[in-house]
Amino acid sequence: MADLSEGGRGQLLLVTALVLAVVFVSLSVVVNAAIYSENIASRQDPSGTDALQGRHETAVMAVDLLASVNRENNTDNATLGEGLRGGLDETGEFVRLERAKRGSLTNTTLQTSSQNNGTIVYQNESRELTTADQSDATPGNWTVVRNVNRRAGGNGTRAFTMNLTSISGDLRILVVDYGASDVWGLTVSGNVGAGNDITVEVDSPVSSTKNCTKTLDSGHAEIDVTGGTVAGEPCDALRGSYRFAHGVGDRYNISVENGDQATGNYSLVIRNTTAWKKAANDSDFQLNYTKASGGAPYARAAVYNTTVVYEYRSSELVYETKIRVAPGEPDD
Amino acid sequence: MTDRRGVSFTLNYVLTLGIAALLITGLIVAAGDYVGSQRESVVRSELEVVGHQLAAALEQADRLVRAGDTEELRLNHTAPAEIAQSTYTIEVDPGSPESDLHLNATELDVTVTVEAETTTSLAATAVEGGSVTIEYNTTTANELEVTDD
Repeated sequence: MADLSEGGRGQLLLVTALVLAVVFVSLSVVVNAAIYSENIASRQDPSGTDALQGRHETAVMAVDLLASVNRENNTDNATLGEGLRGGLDETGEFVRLERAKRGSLTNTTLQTSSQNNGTIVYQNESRELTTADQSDATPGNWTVVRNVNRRAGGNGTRAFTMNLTSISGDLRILVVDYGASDVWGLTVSGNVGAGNDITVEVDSPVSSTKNCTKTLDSGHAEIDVTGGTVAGEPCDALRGSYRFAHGVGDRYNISVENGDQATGNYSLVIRNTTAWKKAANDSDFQLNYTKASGGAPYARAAVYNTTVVYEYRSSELVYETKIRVAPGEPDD
Repeated sequence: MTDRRGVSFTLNYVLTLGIAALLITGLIVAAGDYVGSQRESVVRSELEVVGHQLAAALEQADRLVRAGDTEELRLNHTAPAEIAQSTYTIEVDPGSPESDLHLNATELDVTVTVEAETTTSLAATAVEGGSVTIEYNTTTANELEVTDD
């Protein structure tokens, strides 16, 4: 009797121990899962960030490269294209080596078919904003470029910057619709000098007039017309519905008024290769620019925009994107 | 006297065994319930983590797409195939700009919903839980699709 009872109790304890063991094992599995979930919560997927960083580096270098090629080469568009391709091979190699250290591959290629040739108009010496020839009755009132055509959904002028050293009147930059009467006008007034105020006023065909006044901290006034800054600070009169050429049609002229009442240098890139030339039957316009030697301003072949294809491959990510390179181009 | 001692002895054993069985059964049931509730809690927590990881991967893919004119994008996202020994499913319920990701642990019937905020639209899909691929469909819909290829 006693033996049987002791045997029963033994079985009960055995089964209990077994069940409890299973419970503890299950509990350990659950605890392990909890630890694992905390572990994966702290994981990061670096590929996406790395790819974006590489893309950004490529874009920044391509922008600098385009500006450099436009500045240094003055022959023709084919030479500019060659310069871009060569430069991109070298800068792309830098991005590729940096990524290779982290176990990923990149490739950057220039999409030559998407290259748009244009013209860079610039004056790199401080003089009045007049024609090169100055033989006209009013050399300060002249058309800088004509019949600039916008790209679809965008603009046709980029990187328009002025650096003025003096203003004696109201300098006006006008963007005039080629076929209609819409005019976008920019008026710069004030006294250039450290501590002085300079005012930029914009008349937009779709909005009322808006102006902004900035205090200069040096003896020159930097106005980024397409970038929307004055003396390095954002200017609301050059942004939003007042931005460069907003409200003007698909084709427009850019002209200067009272250019003889301001001194400084400037630069802009337009989307056309012939917009700086006047019509064939009007040779005076060609005197606006210096052909070979002599004084500014100059009009030379430039690349308006190009496209770089950026590819990124790692064990987690395959990414291919196009980077449109047109630094300083405002939205439509 | 001897007979009475015998009965008492047997009764004593029966009572001891009964009480011990009762206590042990209670212990096992309580421990089982505790493990079950902990498991459900862990599954819920881990589904949330996996869901947020997937949402982060989708938002990462969205950032890559929005960076420019994307020709090709394929992002492999690694995640556990089982959560606390339970398989699970992922269902993408597109919305704008916030889409819902429903993660369901099939064995426990625990469902967790996580939001993913993307500018690029998402495709409505349902896949088995685990490592998935996020692909940008450039041919038809220009949307991000989660597949379990």
